[in-house]
Amino acid sequence: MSLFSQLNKSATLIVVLLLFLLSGSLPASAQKIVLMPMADLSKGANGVNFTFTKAVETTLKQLGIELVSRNDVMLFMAGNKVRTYQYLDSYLVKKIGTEFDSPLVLIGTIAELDAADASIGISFTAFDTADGNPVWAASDATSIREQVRVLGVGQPETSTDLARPLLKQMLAPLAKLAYAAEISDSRDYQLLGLSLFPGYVQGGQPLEATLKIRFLGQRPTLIAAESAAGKSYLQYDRRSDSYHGKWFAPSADGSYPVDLRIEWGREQTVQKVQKVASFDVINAPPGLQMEIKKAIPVGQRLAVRDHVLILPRVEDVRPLAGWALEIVSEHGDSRVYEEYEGDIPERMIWEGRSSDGFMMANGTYTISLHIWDLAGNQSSASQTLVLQASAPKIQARITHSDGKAFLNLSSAGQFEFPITAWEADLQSLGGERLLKTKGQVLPVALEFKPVTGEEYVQLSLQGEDLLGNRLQVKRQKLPIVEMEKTIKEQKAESWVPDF
Amino acid sequence: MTGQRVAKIILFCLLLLLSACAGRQALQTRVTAGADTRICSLAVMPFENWTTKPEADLLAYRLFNSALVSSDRFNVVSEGDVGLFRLRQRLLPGTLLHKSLYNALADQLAVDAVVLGRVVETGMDSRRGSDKVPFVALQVDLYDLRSDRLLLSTVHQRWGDEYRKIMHFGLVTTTSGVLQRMSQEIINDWKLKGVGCQ
Repeated sequence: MSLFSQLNKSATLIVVLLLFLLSGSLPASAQKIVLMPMADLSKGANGVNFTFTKAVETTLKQLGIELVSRNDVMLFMAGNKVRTYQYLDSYLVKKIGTEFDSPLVLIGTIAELDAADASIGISFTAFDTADGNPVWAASDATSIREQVRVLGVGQPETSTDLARPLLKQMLAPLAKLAYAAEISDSRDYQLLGLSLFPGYVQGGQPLEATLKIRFLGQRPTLIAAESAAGKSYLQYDRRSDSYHGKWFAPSADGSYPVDLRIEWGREQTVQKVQKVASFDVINAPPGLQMEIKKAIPVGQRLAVRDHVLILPRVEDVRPLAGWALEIVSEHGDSRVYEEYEGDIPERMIWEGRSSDGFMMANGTYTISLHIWDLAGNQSSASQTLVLQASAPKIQARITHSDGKAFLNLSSAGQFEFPITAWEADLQSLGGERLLKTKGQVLPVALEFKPVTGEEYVQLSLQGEDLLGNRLQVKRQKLPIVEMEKTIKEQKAESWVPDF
Repeated sequence: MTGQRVAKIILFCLLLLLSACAGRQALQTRVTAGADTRICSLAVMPFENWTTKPEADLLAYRLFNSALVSSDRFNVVSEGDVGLFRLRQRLLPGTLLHKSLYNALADQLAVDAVVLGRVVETGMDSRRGSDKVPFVALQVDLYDLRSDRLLLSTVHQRWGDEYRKIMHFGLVTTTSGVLQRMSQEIINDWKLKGVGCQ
C-alpha cells in the first residue's frame, strides 16, 4: 500500500515537472491586435475596402494573430471621428490600446488595385499603443505581368490570387511583433490647448482660462494653472468637456508663461507641463503720433484744397485691437467716424468727404485718430485742418450813383481764405467791351459806361483763392437797371388737412 | 595569342552592351555644406501633387512613410499627428508648410527634421518598343528644424523596366512598386550620406 502510494506520488511529480518543462518551451500567446479597415486609394482618398480587410483578417488569423472584432473597431472609429488615417493621431492609437487591451494597431492601404490589369500594391504600418508611434511598416506590389510562371503552371489570374501570397509574405514578420508586444499601463493624456482670454491684459484685470485636454483612463484629481499670478485650480465642465478657471493678472508689465499642474490620485502625484500658454500684461497706452502730408501751411494753420495724407505713427510695435478715424467740425458736429478692428493702416487719404461720401463744406475741422491695444489701453492724436475745396463765390451787382454805372464785385458764401486774384470782362449784348480789368482785393466797385438802350450787360469773370481754387464765370447776364426784388407772400397749399 | 585578343574584344563589347542595358539611376542628392546630418526623429508633410493623377501624392506619401519606418533609421511621427498639427495651425489640405511654422512643428511634434516632398511626374510609358511600364519622378527635401535650413534635396526618377534583370524578371509593372523601390533607394542614399540616428 505504502509502495503504491509512493509510486503514485513520484508519477504526479514527474507529470508536474514535464508540464513545467513543456510550458517553458511553448511560446507566449500573441496579444490581440487591432486591424483598422483597409484604405483603398483606387477608390479615392477616402476609399475603404472591406473585402480586402476580410482577406487581411484571414491571413492574420492563419498566422496565429488574434484580432479585435471589426464591429468594435468600427464603433471606435465612429465614436472618435476617425474618418481616414489622417485623423488617427498617437493619442487615439494609445486610446485604442487602452480600450481594447491591445499592444498594436495595424493600418493598411491598398495603394493600387487594378482588376483589369490584375495588379496590386499594398502598404501596412503597425503602431505601438504604448507611445502611439509607428513601429513596423511594409509595402509591396505586384502584377500578373511580374508573375509569369514556367508554362503558366500555377500562374495567378486575378488580383485576389496575387493578394493571398503577397499578404502572407508581408504580414509574417508582424506575428513576431505581436508575440513580443506588451501592454503598457500609463496615465496618458492629449493636450488639445489652453486658451487664455484675453491674451493681453492690463495689470489686475481678470483672465479666463479654458483647457481642452483628453485623458486615456481616469481623469486626474485636480488640474491647476500656474503662473506668476499664483496657482489657480480649474473646474471641469461636463457639458463642454473642458476645464475652466479665472485669475487676476499681475500688476507689472511683461509676458507671463502659464504651466499646467496635473495632480493624480489620492497621493496627489504631481505632473507638470510647462509653458502651455502665455499672457501679456500691458499698462502703458501705445504711443501714437499723426503726421499730415500734402497740406498747405497758411500761417499757423494747415489748409487742404484737394486731399491730404494721414500718416499714423505707432511708437510701440504691439498688436492693436482696433482703431478709429474721426473728423469733427468747429461746431462739434462729427462728420466722419470710421472704426475698424486690427492694425491701423500705414497711411490714409482724406479727400474732404464725410462718411456719407459727399464733399464737406469749407470750414475748420479736427482730424482725430484713436487706437486701442489688445489690453484695452487707448491713445489718440489730433490735428486741425482748414478745408477749402472750392473758391469763394463772387457776387456781381450793377449800381448807379451820380448818373454813373458801377460794377460791384464782392466775395460771398462760406470761405476761410479770400480771392487773391481776379479778372473781370464786361461786354454789352452786342459784344462791345465796356470794361476789362483785374485785381487782387475784393470788394471793389468799377465804373463803366453802358450802351444806351440796353438793359443787360454780359460779365465774364475769373478768380483764384489763396489755396489755388479757381472760379470761372462766362457771359453772365446782369441787369443794368436796378430792380427791387419783392417776394410776395404765398399761401402754402396743403394736401392734408391741418389737425 | 590572337584567340585571347578576340576573346578580350568580345568581353569588352559584352560589357559595353550590358552597361547600356543596365540603364542609369537618376538619383541626385545635394546636401548642404556643413549640415548636421544626425537626424533621429522626423515628420513627413503631405506630398504635393504636380501630376494629373488624383491620388499620386497620397500614394507617394504613404509609401515613403512606410519606407522610412521600415528603414529603422528614424523615429517617424504618425500621419495622424502630422494631420493634427496641420489642423491646429489651420493649414488647409494642399497648403504648404511655411518656414515660420518650423519652430511650432519642432516643439509640438518633437522632431529634428521635416520631409517635404512632391510627385513631379507619374504615368505609364512605353520605351524601347516594349510594353507600357510605369514611371515616377519625385523630389524630396529634408529641412533641419534645429537650424531652420534645408539639409538636403533629392531628385529621383525611375521607369519600371529599369529594374529588369533578364527577360521579364525584375520588371516592375506597378506605380506603387516603382514608388516603393524609389523610396528605399532615396533612404539608402541618405544613409550613405550619413543622414540618420546612428
